[in-house]
Amino acid sequence: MVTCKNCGIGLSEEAGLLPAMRAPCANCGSLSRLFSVDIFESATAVTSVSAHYFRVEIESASVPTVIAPSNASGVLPRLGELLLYLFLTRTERINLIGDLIEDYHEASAKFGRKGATRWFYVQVFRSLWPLLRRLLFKVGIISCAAKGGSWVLKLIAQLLSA
Amino acid sequence: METPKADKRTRLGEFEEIVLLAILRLGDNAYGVPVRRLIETETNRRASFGALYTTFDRLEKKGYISSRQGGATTDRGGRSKRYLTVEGAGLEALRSSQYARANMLSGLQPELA
Repeated sequence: MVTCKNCGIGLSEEAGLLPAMRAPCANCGSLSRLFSVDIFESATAVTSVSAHYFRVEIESASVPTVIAPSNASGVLPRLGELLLYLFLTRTERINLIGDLIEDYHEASAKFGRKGATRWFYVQVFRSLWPLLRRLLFKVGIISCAAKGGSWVLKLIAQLLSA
Repeated sequence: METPKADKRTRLGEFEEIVLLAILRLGDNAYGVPVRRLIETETNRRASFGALYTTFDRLEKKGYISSRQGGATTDRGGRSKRYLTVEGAGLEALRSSQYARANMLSGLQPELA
Protein backbone atom coordinates (compact mmCIF):
# COMPACT_ATOMS: atom_id res chain seq x y z
CA MET A 1 0.00 0.00 0.00
CA VAL A 2 1.31 3.48 -0.91
CA THR A 3 0.68 6.48 1.40
CA CYS A 4 1.99 10.02 1.48
CA LYS A 5 4.88 10.19 3.96
CA ASN A 6 4.05 13.77 4.87
CA CYS A 7 0.30 13.67 5.57
CA GLY A 8 -0.35 9.88 5.68
CA ILE A 9 -3.19 9.87 3.16
CA GLY A 10 -3.62 6.73 1.01
CA LEU A 11 -2.69 7.16 -2.67
CA SER A 12 -3.82 5.19 -5.71
CA GLU A 13 -0.31 5.00 -7.07
CA GLU A 14 1.71 1.97 -8.15
CA ALA A 15 4.45 0.97 -5.72
CA GLY A 16 6.94 0.40 -8.55
CA LEU A 17 6.56 3.92 -9.98
CA LEU A 18 9.87 5.87 -10.31
CA PRO A 19 10.14 8.98 -8.01
CA ALA A 20 10.46 11.27 -11.07
CA MET A 21 7.14 10.00 -12.45
CA ARG A 22 5.16 10.60 -9.19
CA ALA A 23 2.37 13.15 -9.11
CA PRO A 24 2.30 15.49 -6.05
CA CYS A 25 0.02 14.46 -3.19
CA ALA A 26 -3.46 15.90 -3.73
CA ASN A 27 -3.67 16.82 -0.02
CA CYS A 28 -0.26 18.37 0.77
CA GLY A 29 1.72 18.36 -2.53
CA SER A 30 4.53 16.17 -1.15
CA LEU A 31 6.42 13.66 -3.33
CA SER A 32 7.60 11.55 -0.37
CA ARG A 33 5.96 8.14 -0.15
CA LEU A 34 5.58 5.40 2.47
CA PHE A 35 5.26 1.79 1.30
CA SER A 36 3.71 -0.72 3.67
CA VAL A 37 3.56 -4.50 3.25
CA ASP A 38 1.55 -6.81 5.45
CA ILE A 39 4.42 -9.09 6.45
CA PHE A 40 2.42 -11.04 9.04
CA GLU A 41 0.01 -12.45 6.45
CA SER A 42 2.76 -13.39 4.01
CA ALA A 43 4.78 -15.15 6.69
CA THR A 44 1.78 -17.19 7.79
CA ALA A 45 1.09 -18.29 4.24
CA VAL A 46 4.67 -19.44 3.64
CA THR A 47 4.83 -21.39 6.92
CA SER A 48 1.59 -23.23 6.35
CA VAL A 49 2.59 -24.18 2.78
CA SER A 50 5.92 -25.59 3.98
CA ALA A 51 4.34 -27.57 6.79
CA HIS A 52 1.74 -29.03 4.48
CA TYR A 53 4.38 -30.04 1.93
CA PHE A 54 6.43 -31.75 4.65
CA ARG A 55 3.44 -33.74 5.88
CA VAL A 56 2.57 -34.92 2.39
CA GLU A 57 6.16 -36.05 1.85
CA ILE A 58 6.18 -38.11 5.06
CA GLU A 59 2.88 -39.80 4.35
CA SER A 60 3.78 -40.74 0.81
CA ALA A 61 4.52 -44.42 0.25
CA SER A 62 6.17 -43.79 -3.08
CA VAL A 63 9.89 -44.60 -2.98
CA PRO A 64 11.43 -41.61 -4.80
CA THR A 65 9.73 -39.02 -2.58
CA VAL A 66 11.19 -40.38 0.65
CA ILE A 67 14.81 -39.98 -0.39
CA ALA A 68 16.40 -37.15 1.55
CA PRO A 69 17.91 -34.45 -0.67
CA SER A 70 21.47 -35.33 0.32
CA ASN A 71 20.67 -39.05 0.54
CA ALA A 72 22.16 -39.14 4.03
CA SER A 73 19.87 -39.82 6.98
CA GLY A 74 21.42 -37.25 9.30
CA VAL A 75 20.70 -39.66 12.17
CA LEU A 76 23.33 -42.36 11.69
CA PRO A 77 27.09 -41.79 11.88
CA ARG A 78 28.00 -40.50 8.43
CA LEU A 79 31.10 -42.57 7.67
CA GLY A 80 29.39 -45.89 8.37
CA GLU A 81 26.39 -44.89 6.31
CA LEU A 82 28.61 -43.92 3.39
CA LEU A 83 30.42 -47.26 3.62
CA LEU A 84 27.11 -49.08 3.32
CA TYR A 85 26.00 -46.87 0.43
CA LEU A 86 28.88 -48.23 -1.65
CA PHE A 87 27.37 -51.71 -1.68
CA LEU A 88 23.64 -51.13 -1.48
CA THR A 89 21.14 -50.88 -4.32
CA ARG A 90 18.93 -47.81 -4.60
CA THR A 91 15.92 -49.33 -2.87
CA GLU A 92 18.09 -51.01 -0.22
CA ARG A 93 19.47 -47.58 0.66
CA ILE A 94 15.94 -46.67 1.68
CA ASN A 95 14.82 -49.92 3.33
CA LEU A 96 18.04 -51.10 5.01
CA ILE A 97 19.09 -47.65 6.21
CA GLY A 98 15.51 -47.17 7.51
CA ASP A 99 15.82 -50.43 9.47
CA LEU A 100 19.16 -49.30 10.87
CA ILE A 101 17.71 -45.93 11.92
CA GLU A 102 14.83 -47.73 13.68
CA ASP A 103 17.22 -49.97 15.60
CA TYR A 104 19.67 -47.11 16.21
CA HIS A 105 16.99 -45.17 18.10
CA GLU A 106 16.39 -48.20 20.30
CA ALA A 107 20.12 -48.72 20.84
CA SER A 108 20.42 -45.02 21.77
CA ALA A 109 17.72 -45.39 24.41
CA LYS A 110 19.39 -48.54 25.76
CA PHE A 111 23.12 -47.75 25.60
CA GLY A 112 23.29 -43.98 25.10
CA ARG A 113 24.66 -42.21 22.05
CA LYS A 114 28.21 -43.59 22.30
CA GLY A 115 26.99 -47.14 22.77
CA ALA A 116 24.58 -46.76 19.87
CA THR A 117 27.38 -45.52 17.62
CA ARG A 118 29.48 -48.54 18.57
CA TRP A 119 26.50 -50.81 17.92
CA PHE A 120 26.00 -49.17 14.53
CA TYR A 121 29.61 -49.68 13.42
CA VAL A 122 29.47 -53.34 14.48
CA GLN A 123 26.36 -53.68 12.28
CA VAL A 124 28.10 -51.95 9.38
CA PHE A 125 31.23 -54.10 9.46
CA ARG A 126 29.24 -57.30 9.89
CA SER A 127 27.08 -56.30 6.94
CA LEU A 128 29.98 -55.49 4.64
CA TRP A 129 31.12 -59.04 3.92
CA PRO A 130 27.75 -60.39 2.70
CA LEU A 131 27.26 -57.27 0.59
CA LEU A 132 30.79 -57.46 -0.85
CA ARG A 133 30.33 -61.18 -1.53
CA ARG A 134 27.15 -60.45 -3.46
CA LEU A 135 28.92 -57.77 -5.48
CA LEU A 136 31.85 -60.07 -6.32
CA PHE A 137 29.45 -62.81 -7.31
CA LYS A 138 27.62 -60.45 -9.64
CA VAL A 139 30.88 -59.24 -11.19
CA GLY A 140 32.06 -62.83 -11.60
CA ILE A 141 28.90 -63.81 -13.40
CA ILE A 142 29.06 -60.78 -15.69
CA SER A 143 32.73 -61.43 -16.54
CA CYS A 144 32.01 -65.09 -17.29
CA ALA A 145 29.26 -64.15 -19.69
CA ALA A 146 31.43 -61.51 -21.40
CA LYS A 147 34.40 -63.81 -21.92
CA GLY A 148 32.31 -66.77 -22.97
CA GLY A 149 32.91 -68.54 -19.67
CA SER A 150 36.38 -68.44 -18.19
CA TRP A 151 36.83 -71.47 -15.92
CA VAL A 152 38.73 -69.44 -13.31
CA LEU A 153 35.87 -66.99 -12.91
CA LYS A 154 33.41 -69.84 -12.82
CA LEU A 155 35.43 -71.41 -10.03
CA ILE A 156 35.45 -68.13 -8.08
CA ALA A 157 31.70 -67.79 -8.60
CA GLN A 158 31.23 -71.34 -7.33
CA LEU A 159 33.38 -70.70 -4.27
CA LEU A 160 31.49 -67.53 -3.46
CA SER A 161 28.12 -69.18 -3.85
CA ALA A 162 29.09 -72.07 -1.54
CA MET B 1 4.59 -90.30 0.92
CA GLU B 2 6.86 -89.16 -1.91
CA THR B 3 9.60 -86.70 -1.02
CA PRO B 4 9.48 -83.51 -3.09
CA LYS B 5 12.65 -83.15 -5.14
CA ALA B 6 14.87 -80.08 -4.90
CA ASP B 7 17.56 -79.32 -7.44
CA LYS B 8 20.63 -77.20 -6.77
CA ARG B 9 19.02 -73.93 -7.82
CA THR B 10 15.92 -74.37 -5.70
CA ARG B 11 17.51 -76.00 -2.66
CA LEU B 12 17.36 -73.97 0.52
CA GLY B 13 20.44 -73.02 2.48
CA GLU B 14 20.27 -73.17 6.29
CA PHE B 15 20.05 -69.41 6.72
CA GLU B 16 17.55 -69.12 3.87
CA GLU B 17 15.34 -71.64 5.62
CA ILE B 18 15.53 -69.72 8.91
CA VAL B 19 14.69 -66.45 7.14
CA LEU B 20 11.72 -68.04 5.33
CA LEU B 21 10.39 -69.44 8.61
CA ALA B 22 10.80 -66.06 10.31
CA ILE B 23 8.87 -64.30 7.53
CA LEU B 24 6.17 -66.93 7.75
CA ARG B 25 5.87 -66.52 11.52
CA LEU B 26 5.72 -62.73 11.40
CA GLY B 27 2.93 -62.69 8.83
CA ASP B 28 1.88 -59.15 7.86
CA ASN B 29 4.58 -57.50 9.95
CA ALA B 30 7.56 -59.16 8.24
CA TYR B 31 10.26 -56.60 7.42
CA GLY B 32 13.96 -56.25 8.24
CA VAL B 33 13.87 -55.25 11.92
CA PRO B 34 11.40 -57.86 13.33
CA VAL B 35 12.85 -60.60 11.10
CA ARG B 36 16.33 -59.95 12.50
CA ARG B 37 15.05 -59.81 16.09
CA LEU B 38 13.08 -63.02 15.75
CA ILE B 39 16.09 -64.86 14.30
CA GLU B 40 18.30 -63.60 17.11
CA THR B 41 15.89 -64.53 19.90
CA GLU B 42 14.77 -67.90 18.53
CA THR B 43 18.06 -69.23 17.15
CA ASN B 44 20.51 -67.39 19.41
CA ARG B 45 22.35 -66.48 16.25
CA ARG B 46 23.44 -63.00 15.22
CA ALA B 47 22.21 -61.83 11.85
CA SER B 48 23.47 -58.66 10.22
CA PHE B 49 21.23 -56.52 8.05
CA GLY B 50 23.64 -57.08 5.16
CA ALA B 51 23.24 -60.86 5.42
CA LEU B 52 19.47 -60.49 5.74
CA TYR B 53 19.03 -58.25 2.71
CA THR B 54 21.25 -60.36 0.46
CA THR B 55 19.20 -63.38 1.55
CA PHE B 56 15.95 -61.53 0.80
CA ASP B 57 17.33 -60.83 -2.68
CA ARG B 58 18.27 -64.46 -3.31
CA LEU B 59 14.91 -65.73 -2.09
CA GLU B 60 13.06 -63.19 -4.21
CA LYS B 61 15.05 -64.19 -7.31
CA LYS B 62 14.17 -67.84 -6.66
CA GLY B 63 10.50 -66.80 -6.42
CA TYR B 64 10.16 -67.93 -2.81
CA ILE B 65 9.20 -64.54 -1.43
CA SER B 66 7.75 -61.31 -2.74
CA SER B 67 8.20 -57.83 -1.34
CA ARG B 68 6.31 -54.57 -1.34
CA GLN B 69 7.19 -51.09 -0.14
CA GLY B 70 5.36 -49.93 2.98
CA GLY B 71 4.69 -46.42 4.16
CA ALA B 72 7.48 -44.19 5.39
CA THR B 73 7.48 -43.19 9.04
CA THR B 74 9.28 -40.42 10.89
CA ASP B 75 11.04 -42.80 13.33
CA ARG B 76 12.79 -44.29 10.29
CA GLY B 77 13.91 -40.92 8.96
CA GLY B 78 11.13 -40.95 6.36
CA ARG B 79 12.33 -44.22 4.84
CA SER B 80 9.88 -46.92 3.85
CA LYS B 81 9.81 -50.55 5.02
CA ARG B 82 10.21 -53.53 2.74
CA TYR B 83 7.43 -55.95 3.67
CA LEU B 84 7.95 -59.59 2.75
CA THR B 85 5.54 -62.42 2.00
CA VAL B 86 6.28 -66.11 1.48
CA GLU B 87 5.00 -67.34 -1.89
CA GLY B 88 3.74 -70.81 -2.81
CA ALA B 89 7.13 -71.86 -4.17
CA GLY B 90 8.70 -70.83 -0.86
CA LEU B 91 6.25 -72.98 1.09
CA GLU B 92 6.98 -75.89 -1.24
CA ALA B 93 10.73 -75.46 -0.72
CA LEU B 94 10.21 -75.43 3.06
CA ARG B 95 8.14 -78.61 2.88
CA SER B 96 10.81 -80.27 0.78
CA SER B 97 13.48 -79.26 3.26
CA GLN B 98 11.41 -80.55 6.19
CA TYR B 99 10.87 -83.90 4.46
CA ALA B 100 14.59 -84.30 3.88
CA ARG B 101 15.36 -83.42 7.47
CA ALA B 102 12.70 -85.76 8.85
CA ASN B 103 14.02 -88.60 6.68
CA MET B 104 17.56 -88.04 7.86
CA LEU B 105 16.46 -87.84 11.49
CA SER B 106 14.45 -91.07 11.44
CA GLY B 107 15.93 -93.56 13.86
CA LEU B 108 18.23 -90.99 15.47
CA GLN B 109 15.85 -89.89 18.23
CA PRO B 110 17.73 -91.76 21.03
CA GLU B 111 21.06 -90.15 20.08
CA LEU B 112 19.63 -86.66 19.78
CA ALA B 113 17.33 -86.74 22.80
